[in-house]
Amino acid sequence: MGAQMANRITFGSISARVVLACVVIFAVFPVVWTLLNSFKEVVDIVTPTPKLFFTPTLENFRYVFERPSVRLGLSNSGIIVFSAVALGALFGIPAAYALAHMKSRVGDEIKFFVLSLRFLPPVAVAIPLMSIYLDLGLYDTRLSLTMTYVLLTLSTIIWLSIPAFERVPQNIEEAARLDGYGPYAIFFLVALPVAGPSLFGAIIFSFILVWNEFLIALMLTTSEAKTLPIVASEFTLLGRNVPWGILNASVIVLSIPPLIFLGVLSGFLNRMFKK
Amino acid sequence: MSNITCKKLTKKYADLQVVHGFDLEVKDEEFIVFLGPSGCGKSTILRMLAGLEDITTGTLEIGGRDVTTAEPGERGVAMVFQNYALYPHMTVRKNIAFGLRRSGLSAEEIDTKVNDVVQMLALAPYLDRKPAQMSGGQQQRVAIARAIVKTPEVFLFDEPLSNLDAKLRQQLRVEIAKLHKKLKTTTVFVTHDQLEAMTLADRIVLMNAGNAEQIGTPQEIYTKPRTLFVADFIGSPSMNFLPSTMEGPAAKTSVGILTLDAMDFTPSTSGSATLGIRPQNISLVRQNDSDLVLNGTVVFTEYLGNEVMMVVDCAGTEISIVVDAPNAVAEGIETTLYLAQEFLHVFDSESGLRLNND
Ligand SMILES: Nc1ncnc2c1ncn2[C@@H]1O[C@H](COP(=O)(O)OP(=O)(O)OP(=O)(O)O)[C@@H](O)[C@H]1O
Ligand SMILES: [Mg+2]
Repeated sequence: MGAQMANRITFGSISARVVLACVVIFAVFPVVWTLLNSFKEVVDIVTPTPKLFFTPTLENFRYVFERPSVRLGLSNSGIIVFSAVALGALFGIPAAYALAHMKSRVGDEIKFFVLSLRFLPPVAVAIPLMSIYLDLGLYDTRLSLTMTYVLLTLSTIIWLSIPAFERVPQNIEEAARLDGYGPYAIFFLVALPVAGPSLFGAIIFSFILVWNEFLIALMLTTSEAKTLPIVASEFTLLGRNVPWGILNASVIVLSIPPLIFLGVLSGFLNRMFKK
Repeated sequence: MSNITCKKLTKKYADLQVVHGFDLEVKDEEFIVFLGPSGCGKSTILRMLAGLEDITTGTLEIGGRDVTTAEPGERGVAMVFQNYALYPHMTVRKNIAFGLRRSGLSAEEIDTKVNDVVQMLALAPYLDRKPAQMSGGQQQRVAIARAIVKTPEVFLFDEPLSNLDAKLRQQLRVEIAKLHKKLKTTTVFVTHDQLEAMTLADRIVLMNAGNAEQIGTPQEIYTKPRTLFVADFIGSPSMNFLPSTMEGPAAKTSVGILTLDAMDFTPSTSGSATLGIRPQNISLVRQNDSDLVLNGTVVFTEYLGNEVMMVVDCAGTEISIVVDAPNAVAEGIETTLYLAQEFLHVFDSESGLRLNND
């Protein structure tokens, strides 16, 4: 009986592992290949027989980082995305807290409005904004792109934070009221720490969303405020011979910040699902 | 003095009125239990006392102070919730001390107070744990400690034992009773468990659909239920009821005519009455000459340990009785029941009011 159980478990877990491994290889292989290619010279990339072993070179990365456009794109992306996420969190989290406590029709309408912001195709938002920014002389500035991204981060953070606050048991906040705390103290000392992990997830998600954003940035910037995705995409236009190594290296540079954040995020997600 | 005075309290949610003019005077040091079926408004009234629900109309005084519109933190009350409601991100020590941080006490004073209650509730081994690392019973003891440490004027409990298993429930019930003996803090305790109500209460407020159906000591409620509802709600197994039409002392029921010659009651105006008698007050042997006699067949027995519950079919009406285990009669056997008139209740079938003169 015991042995049978053990058998079944091993068989089940082995087949599950095999399936899992296949899926992981399927998903990860292109990424790994890109990573490998970013360390290859062009001759090693374009050979008819794919090479697993080669003499690695940092030439591609050196090229990428020495380009002024990449440096500008990196700092633009950093500043714009960081500001947009920070502002989105600063205003979005308190707004979500208020909405989570608003048990009326008005609250529902506001929630739907916030969600509907996310339904709009980015182009539909970008074109009117483009003409407004042109009139105001803000076109192709970090400020205008930050303001536009705040719309994205704000609605995403609000939408993801409402359920996080709704999961904070009502009685806990009531206990704090009975302990003599006012609404602000309850928000900072009770609701925020209890909902913390989920809120962190919402912030990371909105970060990844705007870090990878391409369409709006393409329409609202031309040179000064270009973000990294735009700059990276331009490497495809470098010449007749596609510079595969450089392209791969720029993709890796672009992917690293979201990857780091995703790592953190999955840690938090795991923790949330375990509880 | 921490008495509580509720005057004509009402509560309305939009169009739904759930409390209808609730009056209650709780004396200082008294232990009051709200008892009633689910949805009758017990929690609502308790939360109105705490300030967590607005009072629609009426006034509330605690310790002689009008607190009808006061903030929860300013009422001098502490509350224990059914689901413990501990702060999940704080250790036990911080949970207990959290309410004192607003009181202007020094850190040492807070420490002393926390240590006192920790001693009282034997929580010392858990001080550095988070609530999630403790059992339900332990968590509820922390919640009680958190309430006690504030030395409030009034304790409010909303079904604090309902989430615990039977054994723990009894332990904690005894602990709460002892704490009340020691601290003498005025307490309002909500439950739907009659055993808890009977054992803890100085007085029970028996609630029905947003009204106090009867307010009295456990004994009064058990022996002199004011209405049919109270009689039916209190006691286990529940009271037997026989609808009847009255002609003087003669009650015509489905089990025959019963002559209530040894009873003192006001005849019901409508002429229809409901007789009630608890299963424990029916015997298999004659105790008095005035006992009412019924014949029937045992159809069902339930072994309760010390006692046996028997259901007896008397001319188509099922009567349940409880007898000491050795006296029990097996299923299918014919037997005779003796109903003691001194324990018989007569209710007006229409108003539900008890008609006995005692
Ligand atoms: N926020 C609310 N909105 C509308 N109706 C409510 C609200 N809260 C409670 N009620 C209603 O008020 C009535 C009393 O509820 P309450 O929670 O006081 O009952 P209770 O006696 O505590 O019941 P239980 O034993 O199940 O806890 C119920 O009919 C309930 O549906
Ligand atoms: Mg309740």
